[in-house]
Amino acid sequence: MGSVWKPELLAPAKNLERLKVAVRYGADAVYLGGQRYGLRARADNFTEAEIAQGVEYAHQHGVKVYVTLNAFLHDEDFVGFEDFCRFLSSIQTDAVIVSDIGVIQRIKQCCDLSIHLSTQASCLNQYAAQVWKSLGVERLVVGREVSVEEAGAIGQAAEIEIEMFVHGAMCMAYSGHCTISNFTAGRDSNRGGCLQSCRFPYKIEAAPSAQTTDAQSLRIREGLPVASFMSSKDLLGIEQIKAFFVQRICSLKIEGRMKSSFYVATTCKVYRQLIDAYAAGEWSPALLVEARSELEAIPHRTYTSGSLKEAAGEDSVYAPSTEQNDETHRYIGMVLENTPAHYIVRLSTPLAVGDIIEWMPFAKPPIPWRVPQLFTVLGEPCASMRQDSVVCIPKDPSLGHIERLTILRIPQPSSPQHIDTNADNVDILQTAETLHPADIADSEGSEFSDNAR
Amino acid sequence: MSSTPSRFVAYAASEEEIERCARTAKIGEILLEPEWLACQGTLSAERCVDLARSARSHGLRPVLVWDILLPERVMQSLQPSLSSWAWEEFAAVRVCDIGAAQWLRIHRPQMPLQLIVETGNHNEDALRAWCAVFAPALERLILSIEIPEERLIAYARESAVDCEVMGVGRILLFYSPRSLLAPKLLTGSSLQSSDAAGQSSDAAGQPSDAVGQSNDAAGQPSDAADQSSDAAGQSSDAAGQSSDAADQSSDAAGHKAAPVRLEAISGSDLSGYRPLPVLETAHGTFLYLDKDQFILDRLSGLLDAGLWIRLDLRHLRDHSASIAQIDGLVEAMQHDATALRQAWPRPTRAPFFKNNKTTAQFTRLKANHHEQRDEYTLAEVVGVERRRYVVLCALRPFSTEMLYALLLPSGEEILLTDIPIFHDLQGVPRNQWMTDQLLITERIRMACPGALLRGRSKEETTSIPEESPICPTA
Repeated sequence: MGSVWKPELLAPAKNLERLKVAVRYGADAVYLGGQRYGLRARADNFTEAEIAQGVEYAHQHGVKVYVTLNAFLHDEDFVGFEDFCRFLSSIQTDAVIVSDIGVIQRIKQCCDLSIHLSTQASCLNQYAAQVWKSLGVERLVVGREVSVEEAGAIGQAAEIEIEMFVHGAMCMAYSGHCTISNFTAGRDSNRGGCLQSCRFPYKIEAAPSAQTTDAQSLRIREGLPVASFMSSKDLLGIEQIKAFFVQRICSLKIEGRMKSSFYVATTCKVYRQLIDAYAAGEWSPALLVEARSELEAIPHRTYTSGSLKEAAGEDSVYAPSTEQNDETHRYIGMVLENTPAHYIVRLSTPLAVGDIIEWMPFAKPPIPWRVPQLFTVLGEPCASMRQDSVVCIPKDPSLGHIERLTILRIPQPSSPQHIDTNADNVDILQTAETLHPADIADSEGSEFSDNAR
Repeated sequence: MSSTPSRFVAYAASEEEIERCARTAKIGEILLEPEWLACQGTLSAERCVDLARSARSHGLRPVLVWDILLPERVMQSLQPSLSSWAWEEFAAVRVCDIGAAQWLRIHRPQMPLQLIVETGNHNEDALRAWCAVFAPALERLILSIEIPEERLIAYARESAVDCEVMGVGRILLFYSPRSLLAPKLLTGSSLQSSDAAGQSSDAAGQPSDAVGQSNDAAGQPSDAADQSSDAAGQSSDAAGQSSDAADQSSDAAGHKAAPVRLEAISGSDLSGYRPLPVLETAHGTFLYLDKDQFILDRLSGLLDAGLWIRLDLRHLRDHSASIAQIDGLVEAMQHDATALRQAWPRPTRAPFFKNNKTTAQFTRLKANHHEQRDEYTLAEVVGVERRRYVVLCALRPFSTEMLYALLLPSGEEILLTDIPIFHDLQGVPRNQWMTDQLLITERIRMACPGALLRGRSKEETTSIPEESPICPTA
């Protein structure tokens, strides 16, 4: 009897560290960007040497690697493109993610890379799917505006693999159909420069020319408060796991190529458990509750199922001024190495003796634990250690085997004042004041939109 | 200007506008927007067909605008109406969704196709590919205003089909299928009636029996809605007002939509409070720039290359100026296009007409040393305790003799004149290191988390720049 079919779990990787975290926490595949041709101008992204290292590491663990080439390129952007594609092919990259038909043509002319269509191309129906398939596309990342059921119908009708976003930030606009940054800030959102203007608070006033119909006695509000009206809540797909199986959605994609290792680890672990549980016939409402609780641990906006079940309604708009959605935990750091006596941890936030932290094993439940002692790397005891440091924590046999890359977190005080966004390390200070902690996850930069994919 | 061929395109939503177009002799074709297929459409199905016939009688090519994007449920809900639609009344169809183009290729293969490729498709390969995909029906590509003049001309000259670009009009920034204005602008009772109406039908103003088979999601005959829509269209089209509420209550995207067209101005302090117009229709919410695209005073090169020029005055239908009417505009354009720009009722710009530098800022958006993480990058600083120790993590196997410089996140490179002594976590000095192993040394000047230790490349071995700062090690 063969193994049960499962959708692939596809995770974002900002850099090599995230890639390894995704792999260890259960991803079946990771997607990443190179220095050019993608939609993350602000991300550090992978150099060619790092992509090669990443592919080697992932393949050693049976994990696939997809590289994003999903910018809408202008003619002059193609400099070096074929060489890069040939390089990706030579290191056995599993696929590239593309938005632009011109990019597809160039790839087909120079190598045999598998091509996935980015959600940026807004493929929304089976007729469009037919076209993309005829162009050599092997998999469609369908637009977030289609439901799981519709996506399944598209895949079946066009006989093509379907990938769907299952978690994370998303654009309010149809992907690829927003150029606010281009025209208001001179930064091409479809070549990686999205300014996240949709997240800004706006003052809205009915236009003098606004047309309403008195027949229905419609009344226009006046004196509206400044608020975001184009900012989408974050996608949460845990309740659709069964539908993904039923509709044979081949890959479930987590958004967040600029998010922290904490985010990557948590999302991978939760969705891994849900997929495996459903496949094993071990699905239960309690599991869903637990998953939801775990996903509340990471920085996020209020969650919504988006259009996964039915077209997103007005409750899918994020209103930061009225919604309480603070993460329940804060990222502490990651195990870099084990010695016979210590776990060596790289700290992203300060840690002190007596803190009650939680270890996040790759596949087991989190382990609450009080920090009994701390040591410097020179073996000297210390009462606390600041962020961006390395600290030695004495080993505890009761924790079991804590492996390298294990994430540590700490329960968060409920007050929003305790959120440490660490804005000094955010490289887009221009908009930092508007950002949600989800976007400044653990001082690792931000991720807001579909231009993420 | 007087010798230019009739390669101008304009929108029309009334008999009066068609007559004005016909009067100019410059307008070759008109764009007709039925409410059920066009993002900003105001025409009922019947009205749209009537205007198409009228356009032909005036010697104009009537082009049907089908520019909504089509999630699968919308595509499916439109099928019956699409199948029975009066396609023969139109000279061509203008689509944005590739799926719509494919539907036409399958079901109406003889119908000339105009493909909107304004989002992306900023390269020759893309344009050539679309020509190949949709040949022979494809007659025109609608190009992006983000493409500079020089490239527009080159594309037009090299393209297998005609090309078009907007000469004047409102710049669309954002297209969402969601209803974003109604929940903000309408009061509770109005919003409830909006919701109730929105649930009652699915595809906005689909054609009635007079033109095609009626079909809405609720299974209700749509004649009544279409008739009232038509009536509203007749009475208000000239003024550019919205159609009747009964017709507008439907929602082609399957979203709960406002029962009317809503317009607003939005502005954010974070973007200098630019008053950006917002429009909500049954098909979603649209955000526009506060300034109009305007290149009517710079058309000669484009016209010589054979480009079609689109004149979009839809947002000025309530404006009283003569240049807000198509015949007045064309006359003014022929007379003095520079003066026309100065007299334009809204601020104008053409930000990318001469060049597009929207990637110029990217180099400043990330740390300067990222792209140098190559095979010569050996270790990364992961922790620093000032004047006590520095902790590094090996990124690949190396020996300490290979070390050459410290690369700071700022991009500054500090040469290592004396190689530091590194020891492992047990305090044992070592020269050989494996990937992911932690190294500790007493001090590296200017070391900070994220800094990279680099080895020598061939070039660095042969020419060490004299001006490079020297890093003394402890």
